[in-house]
Amino acid sequence: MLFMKNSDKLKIYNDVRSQWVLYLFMLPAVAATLVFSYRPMYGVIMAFQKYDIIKGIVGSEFVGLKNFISFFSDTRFYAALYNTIALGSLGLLCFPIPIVFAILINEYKYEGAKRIVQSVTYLPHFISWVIISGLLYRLLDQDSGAINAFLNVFGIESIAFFREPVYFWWIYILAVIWKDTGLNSILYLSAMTAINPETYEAAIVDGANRIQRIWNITLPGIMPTVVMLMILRISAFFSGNFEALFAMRNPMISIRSDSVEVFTYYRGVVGGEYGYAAAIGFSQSIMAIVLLFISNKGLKKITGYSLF
Amino acid sequence: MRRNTISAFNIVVSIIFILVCFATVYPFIYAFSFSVSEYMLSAKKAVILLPRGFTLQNYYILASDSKVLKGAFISFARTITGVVLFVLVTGMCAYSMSKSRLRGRKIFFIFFVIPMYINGGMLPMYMLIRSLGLFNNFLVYILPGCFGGFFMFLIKVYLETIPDSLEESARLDGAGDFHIATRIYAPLSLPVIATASLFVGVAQWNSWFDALLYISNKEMYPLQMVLQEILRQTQINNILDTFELTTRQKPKINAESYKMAVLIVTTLPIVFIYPFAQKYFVKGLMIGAVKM
Repeated sequence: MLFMKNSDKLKIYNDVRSQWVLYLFMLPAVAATLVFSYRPMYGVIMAFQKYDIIKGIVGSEFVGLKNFISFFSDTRFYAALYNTIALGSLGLLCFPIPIVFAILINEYKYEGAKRIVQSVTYLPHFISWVIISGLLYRLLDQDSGAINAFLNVFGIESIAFFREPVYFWWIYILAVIWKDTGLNSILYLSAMTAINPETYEAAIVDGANRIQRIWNITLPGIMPTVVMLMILRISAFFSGNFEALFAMRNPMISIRSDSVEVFTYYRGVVGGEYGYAAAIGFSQSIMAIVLLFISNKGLKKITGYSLF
Repeated sequence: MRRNTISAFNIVVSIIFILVCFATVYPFIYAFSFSVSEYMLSAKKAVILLPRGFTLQNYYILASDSKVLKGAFISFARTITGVVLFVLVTGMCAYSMSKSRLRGRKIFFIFFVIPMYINGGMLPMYMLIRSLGLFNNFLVYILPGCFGGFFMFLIKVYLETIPDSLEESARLDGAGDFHIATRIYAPLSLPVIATASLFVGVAQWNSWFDALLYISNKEMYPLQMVLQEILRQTQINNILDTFELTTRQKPKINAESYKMAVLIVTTLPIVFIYPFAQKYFVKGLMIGAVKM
C-alpha cells in the first residue's frame, strides 16, 4: 500500500467519496459486529486473569494459566466433561437418522402425503426448548404421565424418569431426534433434487434394485452435503446444546444432565468465578476450531470432499 | 413382480411416516387435552389422548394471571421490534455488500464471516452486556441480535440476482443509492426478507436464555421465561389464591393442568405463523444451501 501510485490513491479516494451512502448503510451492521462479536473475542483475555468485576480487563491481575490448571484438576469438571462426551457421542451416532429420513421421503411415491409428512416433521424445530421440556415432564410424569400409563398397561410399574439420573441421556437424545430430524433432512433433500433423474432411469434399465440405486446414486450424490454437515457436527462436539440441557435439567439428575456449559454457567455467572469459567469457555472454542480443521482434513482424505 | 416390491416398500414407508407424524403431533394433543380436562380426572392417569370432560377454567385463570399477560406483552414487543431492527440493519448491509463496486468488499466479507465461526463465549459476553449497562434493559433483547451474518449473505445473494439494468436506468433518472435501495430493491427482495423476518421472529419469540442471563427484574421476563418458571415451581398456588379471593369461587384446576394451559398459549403463535414460516423457511434454506 505504501508504494501506491498517486493516481491510484486518488481513485480510491473518489470511489469511497462517491460510495458514502453504501458505507452509511453498512455502519450499523459493522458497529453491531464490532461490539457484540469482536469485543467478546477480545474479552477472552479474562480467561488468563484473576478477573475483578470492578477493575475490568484492563485493571485485573494476570495469572497466566492458573485458571486452566485449576479446572483441569477439578473432579467436578470431569463429571461435566464425561456428560458432554457421552451426549456428543450419542449425537454423532444419531447423525445418519436425518439422512435415512430424507432417503425415505425421496423414494416415497405419493406427492401429497410426502408434503404433509414434511410439514408435520419440520414443526418441532420451531418450538422452544422450554416448551419441549414442559411437554417431556408432563409425558414422563410419574403419577399422571401418559408414558407411565402406557407402561402400566403392560404391568410395568411407573418410572420416575426425571428423578433417576440413568434415564436422562436417552430422554435428551430422543428429544433432539424428535426436534431436529425433520428439519435436518431438508438440506439432504435439496441435494437429492439436484441429482439428474436420468441417472436413476438408466440404473433401472440396467436392472439395479432400490438398495443399489440408493447406495450407488443417491448417497454419492449427497456426499458433499453429508461431509459439510458432518464437519460442523464434529466441531460442535464439545459445545453441546446448552439451552436444551438447561431447560430439561433438575438438581436430582444433575449428575447426568450437567454438561461443561451448564457447569460453566453455574461457576461463572452464578458463582462469580469469572476467569475460571471464561477459561473453560476458551478451551471449548479452541477445541471447536481444532476439531473443525481435523475433521475437515480427515474427511477430505476419506471422501474427497471438504468444507474448505 | 416389480410392482409388488414397490408397493410393499410404499406400505412399509407409509406406516413409518404415520408413526413419525403421530409421534410429532401427539405431545401437543396430549398437552391440550390435559389443559381442558376436568381437574379431578387430569390428576390421575385418565387423560391419554382426548380430553376427559371439558373445562376452560385454566384459561380463565390464565387470562387474569398478570405474570403471563406481562410476559406475552414483552414477548410480542421484543419479537416485533427485534424483527424490524434486524431487517433494517441486516438488509441495508446486504444491499451494500451486493454491490461489486463497493471498495473493500473483500475485507468486509472476511470481517463478517469470522464471527459466524468463532465467538467469545458466555462469560466475555456476560461482562460486555454488564459494562454496556444492558442488564435489566429491554434493549438487551434486540441489540445483540440485530445483525446476522448468515441472513446478510442470504439477502446479498438474492439481491445479486436482480439485474443491474434496473439500477442503471434509475440512475439515469437521477436517483441516488438511498432511493434505489428503498424504492427498487426493497420491494423486489420481499420474499427473502420474509424468510429472514420469520426466522428471526420465531427465534425472538422462543428466546429466553438472554432473560435468564441478563434480566433479574421479573417484570421484564418474556413469556418463555414465565413459562419456564411456572413449569418449575409450585407458586401456582399463589395465582389460585388470588383467583379465589377476587372471584370468590374455588378454582377447579390442578397445578399440572394449569402448566399445560400456559404451555399451549405460549405455543399458539408459533403454530399460527408456522404455515408461512415453513413455506419461506424451506425456500430460504435451500437458496442458502445452493448458493453458499
